[in-house]
Amino acid sequence: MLKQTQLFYFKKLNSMQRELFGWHSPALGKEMPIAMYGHYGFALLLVPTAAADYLEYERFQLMDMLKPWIEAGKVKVYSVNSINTESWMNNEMEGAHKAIRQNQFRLFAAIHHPKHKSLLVVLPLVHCTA
Amino acid sequence: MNLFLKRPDLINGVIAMSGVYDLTEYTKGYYDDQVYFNSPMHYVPNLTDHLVLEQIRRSNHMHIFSGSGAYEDPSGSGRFAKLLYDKGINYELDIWGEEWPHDWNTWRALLPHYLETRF
Repeated sequence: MLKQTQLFYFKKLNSMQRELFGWHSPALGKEMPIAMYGHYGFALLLVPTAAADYLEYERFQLMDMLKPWIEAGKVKVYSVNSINTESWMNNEMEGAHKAIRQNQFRLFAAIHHPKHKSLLVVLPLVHCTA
Repeated sequence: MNLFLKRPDLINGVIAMSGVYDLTEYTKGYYDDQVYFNSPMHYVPNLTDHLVLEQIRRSNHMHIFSGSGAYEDPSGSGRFAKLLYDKGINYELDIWGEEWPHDWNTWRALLPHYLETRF
Protein backbone atom coordinates (compact mmCIF):
# COMPACT_ATOMS: atom_id res chain seq x y z
CA MET A 1 0.00 0.00 0.00
CA LEU A 2 1.22 3.49 -0.86
CA LYS A 3 2.10 5.89 1.92
CA GLN A 4 0.45 9.29 1.98
CA THR A 5 3.46 11.08 0.47
CA GLN A 6 3.94 8.46 -2.21
CA LEU A 7 0.29 8.74 -3.07
CA PHE A 8 0.64 12.49 -3.39
CA TYR A 9 3.52 12.20 -5.85
CA PHE A 10 1.77 9.42 -7.69
CA LYS A 11 -1.22 11.67 -8.23
CA LYS A 12 0.93 14.61 -9.14
CA LEU A 13 2.82 12.68 -11.78
CA ASN A 14 -0.33 11.26 -13.27
CA SER A 15 -2.40 14.34 -13.71
CA MET A 16 -1.58 16.90 -16.35
CA GLN A 17 -0.60 20.22 -14.82
CA ARG A 18 -2.35 23.12 -16.47
CA GLU A 19 -1.79 26.78 -15.83
CA LEU A 20 -3.27 29.86 -17.46
CA PHE A 21 -1.49 33.16 -17.14
CA GLY A 22 -0.47 36.15 -19.20
CA TRP A 23 1.43 39.37 -19.32
CA HIS A 24 1.27 42.78 -20.85
CA SER A 25 3.33 42.66 -24.03
CA PRO A 26 5.13 45.95 -24.74
CA ALA A 27 5.63 44.91 -28.38
CA LEU A 28 1.90 44.43 -28.94
CA GLY A 29 0.63 46.92 -26.40
CA LYS A 30 -1.91 44.51 -24.97
CA GLU A 31 -2.43 41.71 -22.50
CA MET A 32 -1.40 38.37 -23.99
CA PRO A 33 -2.65 35.21 -22.31
CA ILE A 34 -0.79 31.90 -22.42
CA ALA A 35 -1.72 28.34 -21.46
CA MET A 36 0.91 25.98 -20.12
CA TYR A 37 0.53 22.22 -19.86
CA GLY A 38 2.91 19.88 -18.11
CA HIS A 39 5.74 19.97 -15.59
CA TYR A 40 8.89 18.87 -17.45
CA GLY A 41 10.35 18.18 -20.86
CA PHE A 42 11.29 20.17 -23.91
CA ALA A 43 9.18 23.22 -24.65
CA LEU A 44 6.68 22.99 -27.46
CA LEU A 45 5.13 26.30 -28.44
CA LEU A 46 1.77 26.03 -30.15
CA VAL A 47 0.76 28.88 -32.43
CA PRO A 48 -2.98 28.89 -33.11
CA THR A 49 -4.52 28.20 -36.50
CA ALA A 50 -5.79 31.11 -38.64
CA ALA A 51 -7.62 33.62 -36.39
CA ALA A 52 -7.96 31.42 -33.31
CA ASP A 53 -7.01 31.82 -29.65
CA TYR A 54 -4.73 30.26 -27.07
CA LEU A 55 -7.29 27.71 -25.84
CA GLU A 56 -8.09 26.41 -29.31
CA TYR A 57 -5.89 23.32 -29.06
CA GLU A 58 -7.64 22.41 -25.84
CA ARG A 59 -11.12 22.85 -27.34
CA PHE A 60 -10.27 20.66 -30.29
CA GLN A 61 -8.97 17.93 -27.95
CA LEU A 62 -5.40 18.08 -29.15
CA MET A 63 -4.24 18.45 -25.56
CA ASP A 64 -6.10 15.25 -24.65
CA MET A 65 -4.17 13.45 -27.36
CA LEU A 66 -0.85 14.83 -26.09
CA LYS A 67 -1.63 14.00 -22.47
CA PRO A 68 0.45 10.79 -22.24
CA TRP A 69 3.62 12.60 -23.36
CA ILE A 70 2.90 15.63 -21.20
CA GLU A 71 2.28 13.52 -18.11
CA ALA A 72 5.39 11.47 -18.76
CA GLY A 73 7.43 14.70 -18.68
CA LYS A 74 8.62 14.37 -22.25
CA VAL A 75 7.17 17.66 -23.34
CA LYS A 76 5.90 20.87 -21.78
CA VAL A 77 3.42 22.68 -23.99
CA TYR A 78 2.83 26.44 -24.26
CA SER A 79 -0.07 27.86 -26.23
CA VAL A 80 -0.28 31.56 -27.09
CA ASN A 81 -2.89 33.79 -28.65
CA SER A 82 -2.70 34.72 -32.29
CA ILE A 83 -3.22 38.25 -33.58
CA ASN A 84 -4.19 37.16 -37.07
CA THR A 85 -7.55 38.91 -36.69
CA GLU A 86 -5.50 42.10 -36.30
CA SER A 87 -3.34 41.35 -39.32
CA TRP A 88 -3.59 38.94 -42.29
CA MET A 89 -7.11 37.74 -41.46
CA ASN A 90 -8.56 41.21 -41.06
CA ASN A 91 -10.31 42.39 -44.21
CA GLU A 92 -10.78 45.94 -42.95
CA MET A 93 -7.10 46.79 -42.55
CA GLU A 94 -4.63 48.16 -45.05
CA GLY A 95 -1.92 45.78 -46.17
CA ALA A 96 0.92 47.78 -44.63
CA HIS A 97 -0.76 47.87 -41.23
CA LYS A 98 -1.34 44.14 -41.32
CA ALA A 99 2.35 43.58 -41.91
CA ILE A 100 3.38 45.90 -39.09
CA ARG A 101 1.09 44.11 -36.66
CA GLN A 102 2.42 40.74 -37.76
CA ASN A 103 5.97 41.89 -37.11
CA GLN A 104 4.96 43.00 -33.65
CA PHE A 105 3.67 39.50 -33.00
CA ARG A 106 6.98 38.03 -34.03
CA LEU A 107 8.69 40.34 -31.56
CA PHE A 108 6.24 39.32 -28.88
CA ALA A 109 6.78 35.62 -29.47
CA ALA A 110 10.54 35.90 -29.66
CA ILE A 111 11.28 38.44 -26.98
CA HIS A 112 9.15 36.98 -24.26
CA HIS A 113 10.62 33.51 -24.22
CA PRO A 114 14.33 34.11 -23.70
CA LYS A 115 14.46 31.68 -20.79
CA HIS A 116 13.12 28.79 -22.86
CA LYS A 117 16.14 27.94 -24.93
CA SER A 118 14.65 24.93 -26.60
CA LEU A 119 11.38 26.11 -28.01
CA LEU A 120 9.78 24.21 -30.79
CA VAL A 121 7.17 25.91 -32.82
CA VAL A 122 4.11 24.32 -34.28
CA LEU A 123 2.53 26.40 -36.97
CA PRO A 124 -0.69 25.07 -38.42
CA LEU A 125 -1.99 27.78 -40.68
CA VAL A 126 -5.53 27.02 -41.71
CA HIS A 127 -6.58 28.11 -45.16
CA CYS A 128 -8.87 31.06 -44.87
CA THR A 129 -11.95 30.55 -46.98
CA ALA A 130 -13.88 33.57 -45.71
CA MET B 1 7.84 28.21 -39.92
CA ASN B 2 8.40 31.94 -40.28
CA LEU B 3 8.97 32.27 -36.53
CA PHE B 4 11.63 29.54 -36.56
CA LEU B 5 13.41 30.90 -39.64
CA LYS B 6 13.56 34.34 -37.99
CA ARG B 7 15.01 33.10 -34.73
CA PRO B 8 16.95 29.85 -35.25
CA ASP B 9 19.18 31.00 -32.37
CA LEU B 10 16.23 30.74 -30.00
CA ILE B 11 14.07 28.02 -31.48
CA ASN B 12 15.29 24.50 -32.18
CA GLY B 13 12.89 23.45 -34.86
CA VAL B 14 9.42 23.44 -36.26
CA ILE B 15 6.57 21.03 -36.85
CA ALA B 16 4.67 22.68 -39.66
CA MET B 17 1.23 21.10 -39.76
CA SER B 18 -0.43 21.84 -43.10
CA GLY B 19 1.28 25.21 -43.41
CA VAL B 20 1.16 27.87 -46.08
CA TYR B 21 4.60 29.32 -46.88
CA ASP B 22 3.63 31.91 -49.46
CA LEU B 23 2.15 34.86 -47.60
CA THR B 24 0.66 36.38 -50.76
CA GLU B 25 -2.07 33.74 -50.43
CA TYR B 26 -3.37 35.91 -47.59
CA THR B 27 -2.49 39.44 -48.63
CA LYS B 28 -5.01 39.75 -51.47
CA GLY B 29 -2.65 41.35 -53.94
CA TYR B 30 -0.82 43.60 -51.49
CA TYR B 31 2.95 43.28 -51.62
CA ASP B 32 5.79 45.20 -49.99
CA ASP B 33 9.01 44.56 -48.05
CA GLN B 34 7.09 43.56 -44.95
CA VAL B 35 5.23 40.88 -46.85
CA TYR B 36 8.49 39.70 -48.41
CA PHE B 37 10.21 39.37 -45.02
CA ASN B 38 7.31 37.31 -43.63
CA SER B 39 6.87 35.03 -46.61
CA PRO B 40 9.34 32.10 -46.45
CA MET B 41 8.62 31.18 -50.06
CA HIS B 42 9.97 34.61 -51.03
CA TYR B 43 12.92 35.20 -48.71
CA VAL B 44 14.41 31.71 -48.30
CA PRO B 45 15.92 31.63 -51.83
CA ASN B 46 17.75 34.88 -50.99
CA LEU B 47 19.14 33.87 -47.59
CA THR B 48 22.90 34.27 -47.79
CA ASP B 49 24.00 35.04 -44.20
CA HIS B 50 26.26 32.11 -43.40
CA LEU B 51 25.68 32.35 -39.64
CA VAL B 52 21.90 32.28 -39.97
CA LEU B 53 21.96 29.49 -42.54
CA GLU B 54 24.23 27.39 -40.33
CA GLN B 55 21.89 27.90 -37.37
CA ILE B 56 18.97 26.71 -39.49
CA ARG B 57 20.98 23.76 -40.83
CA ARG B 58 21.82 22.62 -37.30
CA SER B 59 18.15 21.94 -36.58
CA ASN B 60 17.25 18.28 -36.70
CA HIS B 61 13.61 19.16 -36.44
CA MET B 62 12.24 20.76 -39.53
CA HIS B 63 9.14 18.71 -40.13
CA ILE B 64 6.99 19.78 -43.05
CA PHE B 65 3.71 17.94 -43.03
CA SER B 66 0.74 17.99 -45.35
CA GLY B 67 -2.17 15.69 -45.99
CA SER B 68 -3.52 15.26 -49.51
CA GLY B 69 -7.22 15.52 -48.68
CA ALA B 70 -9.64 18.46 -48.90
CA TYR B 71 -8.16 21.96 -48.52
CA GLU B 72 -4.62 20.64 -48.24
CA ASP B 73 -1.88 21.79 -50.58
CA PRO B 74 0.84 19.11 -50.60
CA SER B 75 2.43 20.55 -53.74
CA GLY B 76 2.93 23.88 -51.93
CA SER B 77 4.79 22.04 -49.16
CA GLY B 78 6.85 20.30 -51.83
CA ARG B 79 7.78 23.59 -53.49
CA PHE B 80 8.90 25.01 -50.16
CA ALA B 81 10.92 21.88 -49.34
CA LYS B 82 12.71 22.28 -52.67
CA LEU B 83 13.88 25.75 -51.59
CA LEU B 84 15.31 24.27 -48.38
CA TYR B 85 17.00 21.53 -50.37
CA ASP B 86 18.65 24.11 -52.62
CA LYS B 87 20.04 25.83 -49.51
CA GLY B 88 21.47 22.60 -48.12
CA ILE B 89 19.02 22.61 -45.22
CA ASN B 90 17.89 19.28 -43.81
CA TYR B 91 14.17 18.77 -43.52
CA GLU B 92 11.56 16.07 -43.41
CA LEU B 93 8.78 16.32 -45.98
CA ASP B 94 5.94 14.09 -44.85
CA ILE B 95 2.94 13.86 -47.18
CA TRP B 96 -0.02 11.77 -46.07
CA GLY B 97 -2.78 10.45 -48.33
CA GLU B 98 -6.11 11.72 -49.59
CA GLU B 99 -7.92 10.47 -46.50
CA TRP B 100 -6.21 13.28 -44.52
CA PRO B 101 -7.93 16.67 -45.03
CA HIS B 102 -7.00 20.09 -43.65
CA ASP B 103 -8.76 19.42 -40.36
CA TRP B 104 -8.36 18.62 -36.68
CA ASN B 105 -8.63 14.85 -37.03
CA THR B 106 -5.47 14.95 -39.10
CA TRP B 107 -3.51 17.04 -36.58
CA ARG B 108 -4.85 15.00 -33.65
CA ALA B 109 -3.32 11.95 -35.30
CA LEU B 110 -0.14 13.67 -36.45
CA LEU B 111 1.19 15.44 -33.37
CA PRO B 112 1.16 12.49 -30.92
CA HIS B 113 2.70 10.36 -33.67
CA TYR B 114 5.52 12.88 -34.06
CA LEU B 115 6.11 13.20 -30.32
CA GLU B 116 6.48 9.44 -30.17
CA THR B 117 8.60 8.84 -33.25
CA ARG B 118 10.56 12.07 -33.88
CA PHE B 119 11.61 13.12 -30.39
